[in-house]
Amino acid sequence: MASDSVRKFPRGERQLFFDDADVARIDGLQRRMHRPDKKGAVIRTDPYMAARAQEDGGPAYRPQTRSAPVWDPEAGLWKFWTIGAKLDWDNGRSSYHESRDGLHWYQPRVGRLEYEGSHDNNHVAIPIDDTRTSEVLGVVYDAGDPDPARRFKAISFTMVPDLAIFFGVSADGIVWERHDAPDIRSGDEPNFSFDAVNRRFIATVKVRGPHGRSHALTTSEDFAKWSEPQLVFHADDEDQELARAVIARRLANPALQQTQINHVDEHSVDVYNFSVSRYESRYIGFASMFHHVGRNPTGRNHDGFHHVQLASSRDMYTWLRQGNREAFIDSSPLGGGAYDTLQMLGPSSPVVRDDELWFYYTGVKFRWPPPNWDEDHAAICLAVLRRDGFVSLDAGNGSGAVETEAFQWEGEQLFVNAVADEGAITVEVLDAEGGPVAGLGGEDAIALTDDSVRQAVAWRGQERMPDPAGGPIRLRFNLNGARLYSYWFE
Amino acid sequence: MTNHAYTRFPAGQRQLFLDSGDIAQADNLSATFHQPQKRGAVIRREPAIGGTPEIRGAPVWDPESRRWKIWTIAITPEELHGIAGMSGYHESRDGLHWYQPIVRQAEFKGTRENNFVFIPMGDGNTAEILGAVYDRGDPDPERRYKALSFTMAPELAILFATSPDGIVWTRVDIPLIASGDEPNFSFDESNRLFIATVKVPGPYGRSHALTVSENFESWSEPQLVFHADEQDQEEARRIIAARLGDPSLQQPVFNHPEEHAVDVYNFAISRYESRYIGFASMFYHTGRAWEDRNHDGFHHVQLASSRDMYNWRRVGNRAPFIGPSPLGAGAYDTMQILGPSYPVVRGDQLWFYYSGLRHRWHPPKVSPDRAAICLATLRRDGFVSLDAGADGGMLTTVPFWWEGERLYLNADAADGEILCELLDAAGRPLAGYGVEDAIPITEDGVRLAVGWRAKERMPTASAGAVQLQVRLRAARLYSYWFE
Repeated sequence: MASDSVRKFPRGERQLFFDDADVARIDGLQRRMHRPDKKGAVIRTDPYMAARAQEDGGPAYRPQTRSAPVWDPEAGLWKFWTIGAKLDWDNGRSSYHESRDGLHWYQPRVGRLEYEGSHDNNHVAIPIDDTRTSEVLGVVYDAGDPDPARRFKAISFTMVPDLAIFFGVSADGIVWERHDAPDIRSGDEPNFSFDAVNRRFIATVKVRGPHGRSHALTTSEDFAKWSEPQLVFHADDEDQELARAVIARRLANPALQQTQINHVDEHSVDVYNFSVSRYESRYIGFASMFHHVGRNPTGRNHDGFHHVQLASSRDMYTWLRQGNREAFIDSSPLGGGAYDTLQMLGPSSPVVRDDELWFYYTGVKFRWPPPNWDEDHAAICLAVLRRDGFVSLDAGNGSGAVETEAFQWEGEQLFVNAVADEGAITVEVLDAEGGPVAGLGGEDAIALTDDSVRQAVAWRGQERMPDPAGGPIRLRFNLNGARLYSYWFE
Repeated sequence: MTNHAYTRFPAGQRQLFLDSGDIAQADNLSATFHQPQKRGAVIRREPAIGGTPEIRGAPVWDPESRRWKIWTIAITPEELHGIAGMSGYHESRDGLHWYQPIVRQAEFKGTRENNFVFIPMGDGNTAEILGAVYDRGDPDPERRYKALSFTMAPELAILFATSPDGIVWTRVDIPLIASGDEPNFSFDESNRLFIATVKVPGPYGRSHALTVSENFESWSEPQLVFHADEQDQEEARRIIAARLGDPSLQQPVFNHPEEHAVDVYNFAISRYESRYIGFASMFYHTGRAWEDRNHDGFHHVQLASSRDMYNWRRVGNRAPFIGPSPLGAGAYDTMQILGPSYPVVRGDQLWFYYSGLRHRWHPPKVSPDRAAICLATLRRDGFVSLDAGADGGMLTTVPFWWEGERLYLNADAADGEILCELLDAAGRPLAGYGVEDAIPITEDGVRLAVGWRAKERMPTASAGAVQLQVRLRAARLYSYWFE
């Protein structure tokens, strides 16, 4: 691969191994995707909010979320919005939750909206006009907006007059105003994130595609003008082939929740939801792959189940599936009190919590309701991964190396996120052509032998990187019985 | 049998089928033991504080502040540099979503901005709130909350404390009661009886003695009431072998087959309707841990019932009432399970709060997030049902006296039918209450009123003791009672 003269790693931006774009060669290392460790449900159905059946008599699947929690630095609290009571098609609402630790959530009584004769609830909504309201679906906190009344920004969705997304703004995440911008045509299932580094608002909208539900991207730098939605993610023929095997395996596994309906000729997959967010030097996408097991007897829709796949991109338009299209978050087995046993709506974006990434996602125990369905059938679930822990390059019990392309950088010291406590990692600095740099070679490297998300790299007699003005360099990481997740400069 | 010997069912007291004590005859019925449905973790380790949350109590409803309160074992004495234990205090409006109020009672890591509460021991030491109950009948509002705790100095013993709010506690000045660790505590409100169990050595390892008090001052001499037996040891060897062969379950670190055995880690007694129930946390030893006197192993929670708290009957043929969760579901109760203290009645359900731990002996690189307070829910009265298939079955109770005017059933007859008949004490049908007069029950409900064509109410008590005969077809009966 030719050297990219403009490749420049900003200070603090972690370089992961989602793709080979910054990699010149890999010898003896395996690329592995890692799944987060599930922690179970953190927000469940409000037992005081009577479960209202939908118009077809089926359950309203609640709670659900299409957001990640937002840290409010002024309040010193995490804030979170779940899809709440939908009184009718014109009056969608969200339930508002707060937490000090992101694990234990409570429902503050915000007294904004009447429900069954009382204002003693946590309902919030974005007013569409004088009579209609909509849900607060996905929320971001924009610390850079000079207007404190617009610090919280949310995406919402309306079905009237057309299926479309629109936005809301708020000072506190509780009292919302509709943001004055034209609606953007969409199916349901939008998603929303904010790339604070590039000050770019990112929304995905559901559109039709070559294999059913697909997703288009629209972005905005000023939260006023949005780009024309462009199809960026859909299932393909390989997905259909894999889906038939995934569905067959599931139907044969009694440890997993089974669907009510099974029509073998209808087995297929599409993308129920696709969320895009910035993660360090790439964009990541969570694709909620909806495996159709069979058409419902009375509805146009399918019974089926989801798993969440991970994809990465440099530009949000071209996507690379991670982990050979295996599930990043898969169904939980029955019998463990889990809610993500059948339907799963993937996380909107990861939340960085010190050494970990926390993923909040929706789990539902069924799709087509079984007889005597339980009201307590949906929850907001949490799964936790090592920071940068999506993909590693692994030496296993042996040894191997990865050499980067030439790059420029900002920062004085190199850090790695790696597991080397049963082995060792050494780092060599090479010049742009791959030649050794005196004092920063393999023989000078001090071996890294910890399991840590932030290990400083040093050479004998030298802790700092050379002067970046000296021109581009390459790095060669030598792994012996170790695993490398990322590297960066500070 | 003379009339005065007949059982008397108080109004509203549900009669379950935990034993056959009130059954004269059961034809073509099978007793089914029901496990609660797991709901997962509701209280986890708070990242900023640490610790390993466990409970030995159940949530308490405070009718004045209108919220649920619960106390967790939060910080170990080691973390407190030897000044003994503190509890984490938690509140909830719905029993599902719990938060940690900042109560500023104790300093930890340089701040009082935490939810720690404790029982002052008078010597600078503190003790945990292990199990707490709410006693609305105490005339002194300062003593509404009553708690059991445990100390290791000067000797292993339980002690008690009172509080007006569950936050600020005062130790009750009575002699310590010698005990191993793992006590449990409940309050039989209908009989105003405080119930505590203490761990004692027994014929098969950890065993449990009962002590009771009517006034929360003087306690009866602890008496051994529950321990494992030879049948448990036989079953344990089979249960351990099955677990070691099941890759969907968390495995222990140590396995020494010659040490496979079981004892009772904790035994919680509480009043449930007309019986006492006990949750036995059966600890299956898989092997002695390296350089440790203790065992690696796992727990199941078994259910037992008793009429007097001294003689116990295992329910469900010793099958687990709460067993381990499979791996991969985000569950915490995958290895160690410390059973519920007692069920909390929530509308049509019973809610069981218990402790789940992902390990006993820690494997390498274990996450500190390894324990949580878990919730499981069961239909009210839903421990055991008497079930009839499509060919029908019939239950006849012993003769009884009753208080109340109407008969109610907790039953599922949505796919079948239930007919009730009243007999006199000699087994003769009572006119107007015969099976031909019965209005069929064809619903699934936890409170189904029973009626006969010309009569909705029970006969007058002067008519004498009666027997209840219940005919079930494709139906399931959980309990009956009078209101």
